[in-house]
Amino acid sequence: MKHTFKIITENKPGVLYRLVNVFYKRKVNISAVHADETENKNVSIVKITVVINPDMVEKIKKQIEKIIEVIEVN
Amino acid sequence: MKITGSQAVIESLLKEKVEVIFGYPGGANMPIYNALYDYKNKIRHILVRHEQGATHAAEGYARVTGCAGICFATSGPGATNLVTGIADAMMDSVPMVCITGQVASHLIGTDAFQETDVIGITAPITKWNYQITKVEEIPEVFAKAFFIAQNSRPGPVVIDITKDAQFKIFDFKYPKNYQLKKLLPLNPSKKIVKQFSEIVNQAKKPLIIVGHGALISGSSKILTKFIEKSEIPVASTLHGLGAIPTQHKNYVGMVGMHGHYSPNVLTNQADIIVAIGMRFDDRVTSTISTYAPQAKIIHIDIDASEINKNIKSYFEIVGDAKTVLTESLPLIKKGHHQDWLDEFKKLEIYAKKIVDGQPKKLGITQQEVIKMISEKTKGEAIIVADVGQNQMFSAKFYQYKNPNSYITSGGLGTMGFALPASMGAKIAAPDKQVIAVIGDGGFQMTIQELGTIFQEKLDIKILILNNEYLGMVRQWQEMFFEKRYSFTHLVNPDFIAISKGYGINANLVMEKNKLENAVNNFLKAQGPTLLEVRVEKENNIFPMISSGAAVDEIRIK
Repeated sequence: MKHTFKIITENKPGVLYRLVNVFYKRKVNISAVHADETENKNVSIVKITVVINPDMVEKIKKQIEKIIEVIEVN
Repeated sequence: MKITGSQAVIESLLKEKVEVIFGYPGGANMPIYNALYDYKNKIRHILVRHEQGATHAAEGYARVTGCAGICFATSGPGATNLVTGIADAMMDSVPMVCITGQVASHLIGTDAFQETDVIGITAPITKWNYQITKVEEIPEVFAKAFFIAQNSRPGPVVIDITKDAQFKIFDFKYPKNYQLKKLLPLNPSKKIVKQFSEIVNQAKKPLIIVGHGALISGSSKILTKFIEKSEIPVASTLHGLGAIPTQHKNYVGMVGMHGHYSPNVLTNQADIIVAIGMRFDDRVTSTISTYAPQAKIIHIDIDASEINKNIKSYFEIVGDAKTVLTESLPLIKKGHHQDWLDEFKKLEIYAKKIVDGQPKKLGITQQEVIKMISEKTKGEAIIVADVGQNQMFSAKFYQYKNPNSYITSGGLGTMGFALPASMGAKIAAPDKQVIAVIGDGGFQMTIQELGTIFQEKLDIKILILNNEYLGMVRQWQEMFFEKRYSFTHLVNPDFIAISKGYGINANLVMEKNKLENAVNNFLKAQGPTLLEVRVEKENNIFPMISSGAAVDEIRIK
């Protein structure tokens, strides 16, 4: 299934690298990625779209939540 | 106070009550070492012989104290040599703070001498990492690093500091009581605790499996009360050993590939499995589709991502094991599971009979050495085991009495772990007998740390179980590859001469009838001592669950 993770994170160097690693480690191909600063320059929103098994959504979400700079994942 | 970045590094460590650093100087961290020169009376530095040794020593220290182990390394090869140990700490939830020097900030990205992307390399194997390029960042980054390494599920952190930031002068002020809300413990609600207790109270054939998390949370005492009241049999993972004394009447042994017979077999008959601070690693579950089909899994873990990762749970509690056990204990009813406990004991007697019935080996076996050391040290020593057969024999045949007294590389399975890790363990617990149990293969992966042990006069007992093979791989070749011993035989050097060359007393024992005397002298010796025991070359560790088998298909022979 196609799923988009919406990630609110601190706007710091290296965060995108850690995010991408979560997918790369599990050999999940990223079909789209979009990252933007918000009005608050310290916070950014990253949207990552992947095709994965439904049971992986929750597992990956929890892994993303562990990244120290990540504020929220939907 | 106005100080340099390098002084700020050491001052930050002192604020975090660091007692010891394991490290190695080089071009890019020389300013830090220059600052350290003035702090020699306040903080101990152990000069290792290879940066990997620093990481394992830091792990050994952390595993005994619960506080972060500290490593210093220079940029480039210094930093990349840390990688194995950092990955090891990540897998085994060990708090560690590694501080690496980096080329000056204006050189970053130019492929300068000894420049490596340390942050990039270590991102997948750290809980957090950060590159400091501005001196002002030092205090907060250090406070954050220590908080992250030591809180919630512990893990390794890397701080990379450019050389210019080490030189610059600034006004140092360390944050007080730094906290990250994200890593503060979640306390389970009363409702959750009540539901958990009800499930436990209704179980007919419950089994508790304790993992490393039980030890990290310091829950041994409350766990003992919990199992005594509920009368539930308790098994341990490799890293949970010592959470319950192995002689406790409710303790039924170790689960997993080389675990005990009964807890593996009866995992598949249990109706409730309470997993405390363990992560259902594949070495524990074997084939998931056949794992514990009857059981409702109750998973207690501080790391939410472990819940439903490998095994689907029926009921989950994200929280600290000690808190959960403490809050639920009053709600737990006195259990009556003696018949169920007896099933474990009966199966274990059955398995032991078959094992004991095997033809006796003429030479010394690894298990008899470990058993003898266990008896002579009364289960009170800290055993730091390497990886392979020696690791499994030490896990199975030493009777652990105390928490954090079996230290090994479980998740990553890093050969060469034990010798340097025993240095950290000894520094953390100078009054304890620390015994490194190592095979002849693993010993030669970090053998140079004998130099560190000699220089620091660390009173470690080094036991080499020499079978002239990479024993575990050879066992697999025997069992699953038609005895095709492909490159597992080792022609070894004279370990006694090497040890003596490093100024460490050493003895060799080859005959069974001389073993006891040799072990007595080994344990009595003052200062670092090595005992090489020539053991049976083709001895196997059983029981064993073969790859692809179910846990209850465990082989006794």
